[in-house]
Amino acid sequence: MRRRHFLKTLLKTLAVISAVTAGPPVKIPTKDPLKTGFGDAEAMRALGRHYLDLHPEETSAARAWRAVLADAGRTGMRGHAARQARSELEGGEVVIVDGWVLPRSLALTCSAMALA
Amino acid sequence: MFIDLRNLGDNSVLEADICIVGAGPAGISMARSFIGTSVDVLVVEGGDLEFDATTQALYKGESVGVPYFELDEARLRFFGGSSNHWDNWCGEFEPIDFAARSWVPYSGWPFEASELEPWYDLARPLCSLGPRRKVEEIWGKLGLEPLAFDDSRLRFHFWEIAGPIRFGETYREDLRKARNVRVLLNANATECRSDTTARMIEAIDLRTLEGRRAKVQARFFVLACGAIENARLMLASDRVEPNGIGNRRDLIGRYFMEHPRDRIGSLATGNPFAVIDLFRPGWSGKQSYCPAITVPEERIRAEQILNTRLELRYASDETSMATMRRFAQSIQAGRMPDRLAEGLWDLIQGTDIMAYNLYRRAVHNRPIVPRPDGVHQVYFLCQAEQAPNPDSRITLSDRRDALGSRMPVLDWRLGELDKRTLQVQGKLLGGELARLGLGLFQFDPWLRDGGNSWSPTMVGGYHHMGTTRMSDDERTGVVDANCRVHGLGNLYVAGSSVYPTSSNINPTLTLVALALRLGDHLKKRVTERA
Repeated sequence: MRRRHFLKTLLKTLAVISAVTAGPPVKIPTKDPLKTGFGDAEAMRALGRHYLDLHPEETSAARAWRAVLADAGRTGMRGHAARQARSELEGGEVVIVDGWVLPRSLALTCSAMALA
Repeated sequence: MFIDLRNLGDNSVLEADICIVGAGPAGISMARSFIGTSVDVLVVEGGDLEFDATTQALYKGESVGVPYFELDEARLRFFGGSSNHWDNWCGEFEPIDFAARSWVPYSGWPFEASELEPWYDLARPLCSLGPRRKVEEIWGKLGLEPLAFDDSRLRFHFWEIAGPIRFGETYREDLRKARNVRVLLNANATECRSDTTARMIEAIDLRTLEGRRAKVQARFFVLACGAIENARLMLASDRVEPNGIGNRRDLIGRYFMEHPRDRIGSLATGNPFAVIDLFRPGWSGKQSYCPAITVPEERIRAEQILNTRLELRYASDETSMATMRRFAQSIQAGRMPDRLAEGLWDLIQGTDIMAYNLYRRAVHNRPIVPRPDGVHQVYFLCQAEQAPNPDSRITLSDRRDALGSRMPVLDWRLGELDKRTLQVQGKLLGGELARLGLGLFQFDPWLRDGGNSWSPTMVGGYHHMGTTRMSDDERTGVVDANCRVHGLGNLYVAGSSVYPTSSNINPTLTLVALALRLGDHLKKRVTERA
């Protein structure tokens, strides 16, 4: 009985592990990436590169956006980007990059970083 | 009255005004509606009062399309039908579900949503549901403030859940006592026999697994044995019409629909608890409600998509609540819980969340939630409307079952519109969740590309629909608006096989409403003839 119980427990454990790990390989940041910038600058640059690969026509917009953010300065940059993102989300202006549904300005911010 | 065909003489002939083939929710609801009338009703059921594996095996079949459940697992063949494994998640179809939509080929019912309302009112108590409520009223009953979605982009629609109703148990005594209703058990319908012009059904052949034969003669026949079996029986009845009875237009078995269910993506959020709490099923009296996210009709029209619903789910490594449920079930059943020491340790570790949940339940009547730091993923699951597709179909195999009947072959197919709908709806969802500051949504990989590839984990909802679809035009439908088979004067179909489109909500409440409506129609026809 003990052995049977052990095997049952083992099987259930394996089933749980496989159920947890069998899902699609989606990497979930622990924090809201809208607030944490996807965790680090390299992740943002990767996302930006991906966006420009998908939409090369956005390259000039990304450059322009980079200039706008540069003008806003380091302290003003975050507030400016957040206001723009808010405005886009109100208007339903979102883009999809690597599966993420993002306000366009966030995609442009990532692209600007990728171009830097 | 219940009769067992195995106890009748071989080659018995039974007579009735109306013969209903199948004792699932449609057949039982309709038969029950005749109780106390002067109409003589005979219900023939392939199974017995309880499950039997040999009978259940008659539901076996092949699946050659999108991967699907084993066909004998997806429904039940005994008195009560598939309500015997039903969780009773219900809801009414919405107006757009009945509308002809130019971007959805073959869409449109022969009537509007308002036509069904009186029968929904009668069907609701049969499914143990309370009165119809508006979404705002339900949120009020639950004491919750819904997410403030932009109502031009997303809206809420609730599942209504009243606990499992086993039609075979709940309404058994009603039928047993009824003087004008007989239920014939272990009576498997194998063929609908028509006259030589194939305009009237004269009899239905019955067989038991032991080889005993009988036939039913009736003025009207109603097939109510599920979307796979209704099609199978009509296709197999090919003695006069070589493609099957009522199948002059080669429509029977086509347009098989399901509700594709799979995760569409996940939410990266710093506060999973905020969203989880809003999406858990909540109680109002004995009934509970589970919110889902749908798209408003105007946006559906603008985006030219289907009407699909999304629900929020989470993955958690916290187990104490599950252990508590397990313990409660064991104690209720009067036995000692298994793995007692392991469970007790689990409960000790989860004392805080258990206390919190007890408080929520006792004071605020709110459902169980997981420990926030135990949640490692919040994701969304779709229950999708499937566009009608003539190539998604039931045909007959050359293989035969124990009764000698040809087995069904399911070729379930999905199309581009089905997938694009999820992409559009996910994008709307992601935008709204970000706008509300709840986090960022990311599509699962299978939805990031176009094309018609589907997730390998995609399943259906055990909801079979569309194989004898309804249309006033016999070129596009098997049955008319009264569920009468085109070209046949006395053959009717009940159940979700008549749905021209599938909506996104579980089909049982609507099929019960349609069965009651058909019952009323037949009451008139019986009287007219008499």
